[in-house]
Amino acid sequence: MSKLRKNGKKLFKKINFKKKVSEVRNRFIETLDLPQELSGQCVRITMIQNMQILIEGKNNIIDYYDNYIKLQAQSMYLQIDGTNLKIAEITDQEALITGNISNVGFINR
Amino acid sequence: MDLEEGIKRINGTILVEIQGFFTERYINLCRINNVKIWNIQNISGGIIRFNIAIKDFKKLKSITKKTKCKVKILGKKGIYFKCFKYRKRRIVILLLASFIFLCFLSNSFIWKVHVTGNEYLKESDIIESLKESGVYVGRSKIGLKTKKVINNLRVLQPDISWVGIDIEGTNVIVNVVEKTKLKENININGIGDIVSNKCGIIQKITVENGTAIPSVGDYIEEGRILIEGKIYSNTLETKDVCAKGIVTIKSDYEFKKQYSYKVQEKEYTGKTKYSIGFTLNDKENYINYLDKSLTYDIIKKDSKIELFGNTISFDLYKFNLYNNTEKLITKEDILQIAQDESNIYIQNEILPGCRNGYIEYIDVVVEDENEEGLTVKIIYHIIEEIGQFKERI
Repeated sequence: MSKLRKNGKKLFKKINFKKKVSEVRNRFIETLDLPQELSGQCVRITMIQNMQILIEGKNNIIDYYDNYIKLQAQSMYLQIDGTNLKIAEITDQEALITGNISNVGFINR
Repeated sequence: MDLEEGIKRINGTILVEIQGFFTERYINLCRINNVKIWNIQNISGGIIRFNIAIKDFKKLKSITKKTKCKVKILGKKGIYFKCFKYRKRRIVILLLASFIFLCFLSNSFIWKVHVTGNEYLKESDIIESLKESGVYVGRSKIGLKTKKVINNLRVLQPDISWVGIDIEGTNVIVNVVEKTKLKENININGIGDIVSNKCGIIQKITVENGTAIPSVGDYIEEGRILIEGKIYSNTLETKDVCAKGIVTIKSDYEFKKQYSYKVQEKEYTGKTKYSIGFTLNDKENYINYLDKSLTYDIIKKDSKIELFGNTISFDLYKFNLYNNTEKLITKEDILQIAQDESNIYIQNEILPGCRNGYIEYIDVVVEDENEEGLTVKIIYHIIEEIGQFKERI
């Protein structure tokens, strides 16, 4: 029994089910022409001029300074430069950053 | 921000300062542990400030331990803290509580009873009956059974066919529908004549039923028969009928007034004074500091409130000072004034009492003209329909 279990685990690792599931999900969304954010692996960013930026999706704060904020947004890092940057609200699913935003950049993980 | 979150914030919020090496981790942990924080500000390296709801503050303890940060409270806002601050001022609390209690108590009484829909029944009688039934000013709304009151009122006032009672705040609105009374002693189809109710010269007679007595051009006086309820025939017997028809006459109405060439006119000086006061049941009371030897025009602005059936209004008075000056006017001016005044008199007093009446022409006569003034007589020749049915006994 223990041998079977071990072999099963190896097989599971080899197939990489997580990747497969995400691929299938992406294909499904593509075929049905659904919005990309429904896949759960995307981040939706909404900006109002250079005063507000709303990031929807799971995100962690990596660095936070007055003039620079670095967020982990799903598969990439989001870097916001500016002055007087404030995190007006932060919840499990979204973060609202206000201030004078001068630059928004993306860095691959 | 949902409603629950809003209530949390109204209850109390705290401005917190965090000092440590892992401030970003602190924010992330707050997010993960569902601790809502907002207005996060980075003061300098390793110091952040944010607002937190009073209920979530205790949850910070474990996060602070994990991140080894120092927590400092900088400010407190909200109802909870205000109440805590003033907890020892017992009189204020007592007054506040008594005020709330009084508001509640005053709202549980009837302050006004309003009756609508009555035409021939007197409002005072209905209110009296309502009082006997259990609805009156000063009664508590609690335990008021409207069905019972309605039944009692219908017993006390048999002329009421339907009653509806609405309680709107502290007012009771009683809607009443009265029984329709049949008009007695009127028998239009009975035998009778049409009799004149005014005097004048007959212009036209249209007979539907009966025989016309006067002819066109005749002067008739009040009470004379215009159309007799009889049909005469040479071959058949005289038949009694119900007289019907339209009689049009020309009648004269006179407007006479004496006018003087000297007229008093108001000359405003431009000086105004202001005062305040109140009116209780049409009795005006205001601060009177005016010079009694001078004359003023009073302009009043009021805002009314009704309390326990009494009308109280708070008024703002404006007094415009004027001087009376004498002015000489011409005969043409007097005639114009007289015509304007007579027109108002005829339109308001005479024409409403005329059936299908209209002015045919006007005669203006000047009498008693002397140095001081004159008398103007304006005669209106009005064409109108007359006639009143009178049953023959």
